[in-house]
Amino acid sequence: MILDREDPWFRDLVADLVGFHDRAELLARRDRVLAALPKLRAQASELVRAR
Amino acid sequence: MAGAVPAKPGKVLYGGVLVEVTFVAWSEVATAAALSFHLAPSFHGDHVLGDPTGHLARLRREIEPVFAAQRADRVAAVFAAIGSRLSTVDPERPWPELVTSWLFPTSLTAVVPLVATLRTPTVRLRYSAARSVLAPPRYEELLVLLGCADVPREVVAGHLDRLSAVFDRAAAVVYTPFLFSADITTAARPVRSTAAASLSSAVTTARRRSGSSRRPHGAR
Repeated sequence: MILDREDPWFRDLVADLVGFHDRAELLARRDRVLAALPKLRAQASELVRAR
Repeated sequence: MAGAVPAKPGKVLYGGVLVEVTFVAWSEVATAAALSFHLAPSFHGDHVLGDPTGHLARLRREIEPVFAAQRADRVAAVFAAIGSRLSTVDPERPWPELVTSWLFPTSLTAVVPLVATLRTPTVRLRYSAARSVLAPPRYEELLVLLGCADVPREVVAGHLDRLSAVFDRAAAVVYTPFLFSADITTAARPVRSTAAASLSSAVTTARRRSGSSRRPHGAR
């Protein structure tokens, strides 16, 4: 068995588990996470106040 | 510790117990621990096993009384880490490094509710722990951001099987030092494979289909 950075297993793993097939998809998700931060921050403030 | 900090030894067997060893500069601990979301919880409660100088006990006496009051600051620190790390993702990095540079800050979104509720942040169990403090819809939102809300368990199990073979082959030949190279050892194998399989099996909630852009299996 030969493994390297381009091993298809790793590409399949990433595609199957987090849905990325290429860099564009990863960067788009990165942007979605960044866009979600204000909402997550508001939710976190609720948790802090509730405790 | 004082002086230069040596490289992280990582996971080692000590007296039959697998321990994770990391060196931290005393200057960092002394000045930043109270507002550090990963250091401060160590001083909340009695977690210190050895403290020959008494420095850690003194620090605990400082941090413990303000630990709860400063949680909002530590939550802010988590968000700052997420934002800065995601904003500086370099799309030209090799694919494995690019994925990792996205994955770790994204998974910190599961650390946020733990810090907000004064729980100890974890690494492998962070999503499981977050699930225990979040309403189901909010937990589901985190999985959607991670991209795994609709992954069938059998797909995870298949990759774990393959990972076990890859891990063993890599552990036999690894020699290049990198941040997590100490994890690619025979001693660390139970954490990587056995514990991961147990965690996967423990997740019993059926995942709804999110309608995301995930392509069918086999479409590469």
